[in-house]
Amino acid sequence: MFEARPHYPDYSTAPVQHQFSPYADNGGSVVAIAGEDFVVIGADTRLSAGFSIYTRNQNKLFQLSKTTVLGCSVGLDNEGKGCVYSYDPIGHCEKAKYRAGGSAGALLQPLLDNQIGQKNMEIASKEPISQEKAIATLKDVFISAAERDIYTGDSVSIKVITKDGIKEETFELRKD
Amino acid sequence: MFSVTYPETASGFSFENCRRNALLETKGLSIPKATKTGTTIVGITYKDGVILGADTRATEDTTVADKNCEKIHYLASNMYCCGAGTAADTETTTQMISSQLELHQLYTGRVCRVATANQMLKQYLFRYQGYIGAALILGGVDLAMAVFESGWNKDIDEEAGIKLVRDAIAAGVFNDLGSGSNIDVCIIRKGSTDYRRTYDEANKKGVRQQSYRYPRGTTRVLSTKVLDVEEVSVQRVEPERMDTA
Repeated sequence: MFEARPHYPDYSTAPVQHQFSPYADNGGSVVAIAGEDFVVIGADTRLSAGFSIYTRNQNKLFQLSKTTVLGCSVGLDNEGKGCVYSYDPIGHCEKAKYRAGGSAGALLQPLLDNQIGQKNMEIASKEPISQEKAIATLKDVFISAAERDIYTGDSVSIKVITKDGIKEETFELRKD
Repeated sequence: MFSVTYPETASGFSFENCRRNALLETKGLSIPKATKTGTTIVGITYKDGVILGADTRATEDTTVADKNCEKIHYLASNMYCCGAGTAADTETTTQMISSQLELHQLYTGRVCRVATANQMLKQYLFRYQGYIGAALILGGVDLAMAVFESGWNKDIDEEAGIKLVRDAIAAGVFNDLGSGSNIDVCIIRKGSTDYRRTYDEANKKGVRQQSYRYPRGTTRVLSTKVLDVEEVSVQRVEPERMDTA
């Protein structure tokens, strides 16, 4: 039933409980590809919320050691082979040869399955992927992600990890 | 009698439904949220007419559905209309109004006035109480308005006007994730219109480093069946005339 008197929450003397959600999704994508003796990892540099861009130049790759970079988590194992680990938000972990994550993860993973994993192809090459091809594929999938995912864009920062150390480069993406 | 709940005022807003809505919310009714259209459309008047502008990105949630869609719709020979909101609704609404304007023009034998189109759109959209998701003619993100606030004056010439509209849409394209791709502009002068589709390709697509063509034999052949075609005959059939009697 309706009360006789109106209720104005702003003037209420009852205790008010405030809460906020500590989690926010700021978008962005990471892709990592492991080769025989190297790993390439790339992350776009856009940081956003809702329909706004906070910055076009946010680094999302973190160097953990001489041969480890966290984006997903990537590095060389004790045998010097490339490996990629991916984690979900509560810490479940999986080792892989290639992985796409973030806002365009669902868009890119099937593309990597086909192009890197050579899934659903009859004539698959037995050769392990070369460093040049891995870098070129990584750049190309980011170009595609920037076309369709509004949270991926601006530029990609790429790190190539080999036994000799880490090489860095950046690659420009569309800015809309 | 004087009412405490609803003071009798001659004018102003009535908030009587706020209480009802609050009550319904406590009973579990979810209050509908405003939808962000994610489009930048603008229009300015200038010395000799009107300039409209629009971006060309259509989104579905966070995915780009169409990278180069048309948001400036034709209404009549002297009228165009920018549309934001539900793409299908803006398209059909403008097409229906355009059709009615054409009939009206033939009936009256004169060029339709913009006020006529305005009235028709108003009545049509009001009849559906917002369930037709078409935000027409002018939407404009704050960003685009800010560009106009700084650059517009009533005596602006055509060249400067087009540049200002381009800059306003570009503000949306680069700073609003719901807007993007190219910039369309439409200039409406007295006696002529000039629709410039893809006036500015504000964003160039990245150039891929590799080819992604699959070599022959990539797809598995599950089964093969060969048919021997022995005789082939071609027969020409005259199309039947439609019965218009």
